[in-house]
Amino acid sequence: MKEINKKIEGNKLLLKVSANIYEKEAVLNASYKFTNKCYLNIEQINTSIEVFFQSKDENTDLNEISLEFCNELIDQQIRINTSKEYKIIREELVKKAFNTISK
Amino acid sequence: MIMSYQILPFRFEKIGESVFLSNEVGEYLYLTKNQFEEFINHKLHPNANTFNNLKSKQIIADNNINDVIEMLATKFRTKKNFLAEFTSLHMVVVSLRCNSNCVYCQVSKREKLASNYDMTRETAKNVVEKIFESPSQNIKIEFQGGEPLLNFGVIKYIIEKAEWKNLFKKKNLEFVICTNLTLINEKMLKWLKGHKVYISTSIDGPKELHNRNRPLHDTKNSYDIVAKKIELTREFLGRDSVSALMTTTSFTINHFKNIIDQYVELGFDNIFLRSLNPYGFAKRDKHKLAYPMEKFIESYKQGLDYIIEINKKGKFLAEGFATILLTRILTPFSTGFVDLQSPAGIAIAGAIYDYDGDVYVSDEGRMLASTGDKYFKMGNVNTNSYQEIFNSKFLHKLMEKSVAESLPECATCAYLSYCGADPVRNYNEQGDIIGNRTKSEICLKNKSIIKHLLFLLRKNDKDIDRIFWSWITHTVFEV
Repeated sequence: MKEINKKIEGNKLLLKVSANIYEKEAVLNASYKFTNKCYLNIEQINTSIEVFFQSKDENTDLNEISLEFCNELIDQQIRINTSKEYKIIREELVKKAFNTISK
Repeated sequence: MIMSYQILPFRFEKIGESVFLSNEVGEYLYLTKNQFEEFINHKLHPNANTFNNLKSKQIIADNNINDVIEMLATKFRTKKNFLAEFTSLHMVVVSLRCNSNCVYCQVSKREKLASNYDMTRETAKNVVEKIFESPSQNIKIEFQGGEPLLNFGVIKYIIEKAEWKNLFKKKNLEFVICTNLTLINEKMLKWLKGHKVYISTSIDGPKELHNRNRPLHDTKNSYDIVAKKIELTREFLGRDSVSALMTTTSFTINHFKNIIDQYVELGFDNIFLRSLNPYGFAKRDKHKLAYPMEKFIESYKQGLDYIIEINKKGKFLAEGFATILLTRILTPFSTGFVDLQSPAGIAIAGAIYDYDGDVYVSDEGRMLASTGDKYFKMGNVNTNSYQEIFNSKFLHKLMEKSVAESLPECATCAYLSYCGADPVRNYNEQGDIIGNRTKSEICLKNKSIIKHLLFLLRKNDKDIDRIFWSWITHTVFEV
């Protein structure tokens, strides 16, 4: 079974995700969710996006963080994919809703 | 096989083996993870229940998409109705003086005899002028303090002036006095009876708890006086003329049952289980008065269970915060709670006029000002025009940055349509009006309580459903 591409050293975690699968926005949104527990830095190196975590609290389980991050990343990418489909509808909906006010 | 349907705007959150989905107007449903996968990959069969459920909640459409958008737009407009209304709640601080020594005083009140902290008639006149420039058809003037009854003359002046102006403006005008009630007397009540005035007071629990939180200058026993004055006020203004609010401190957090019982004993049919607002003395003395938000959420849930049990026994008692949230979850209607709007309700739903004529975007904005930070000041009624106060670049900037639909984390939050933005709280907690949701106590509280209410609704317990609807419609639940 293939493992998540990660490296943990002390209170530091490095996760590598594929830029061919995930968009930067998804990585950024997923990272945001962990800003209360860790300091983060994101870098793109060719087709790989590297997310560097440094835990704020020494009791933080970085293995758990890496697993949660991967799931969160999928959810964020789904949000981006589906929002592309309904983006125009959403804009139309808001425009119609406030049409009577702008007249 | 790929089926042809259009996915409409929605948000989601995975909860265990389920996925919670909601749309822009608050319609919601749960799917299993498999059903969710099928849904987003366009693999739902048109005869499947999941397909029909999503269609009925307007999260997908297979035909007549324009009609569905029209319907969603109408519901969205209804949810955002407070925008068309503009400022309807106008809070007026007629005095910063107070005869109370509340441990959590959020406005840094002044001594009883410091009359230079009273609003003058000249300022009061300009306040009323500004209020009536508001385009809102509904105007609620809420008197605050300090203790507003210490400047009863100016309360009367404002009420009379507002009523006079309203002869020509013909708005729906009402008045509320937020008072500790200890100074009210028959003469005042006789006068108030002739006008449309409601009373909002504070009861923090049974005698011992209330007195600990809210002693008076002259006596520690404020409870007996307030309880007596509630009855006196009801005699003059009617049973429903008095409502009460409670504030939770570390002294009272473990006593929600006793507090709820006390509200029942005092004859109230509503209680608002309210956490401590970290402003003024509440912020200064946080080490003594505050508690972790997680603790409040736990106590709130237990309190809510207890209130539901009371209702099941035939006594109507609504919990205020739950009622607002349930209205947002279960109906298409907008609610008037300033803290749960997007864009934020500050200034455009409610504004506050301080004793010196300074205008702030919200009560919390003036609470911050009372400790020296006037960031949320919009202007002054004595020196600025209505346009300068309510149409300033500052306010535009605040509004722009308080649209929850575009705030980090809120934008994708599955509970967004029930919640709102609170830039003043963000600024107070984190020094930034946008704030970081992962560190926000108010986000933690709102999200946890919304999720708990959704959990209770998911039980499909007929009694709980009927009780919740009785709160929304304010009709007695029949056992």
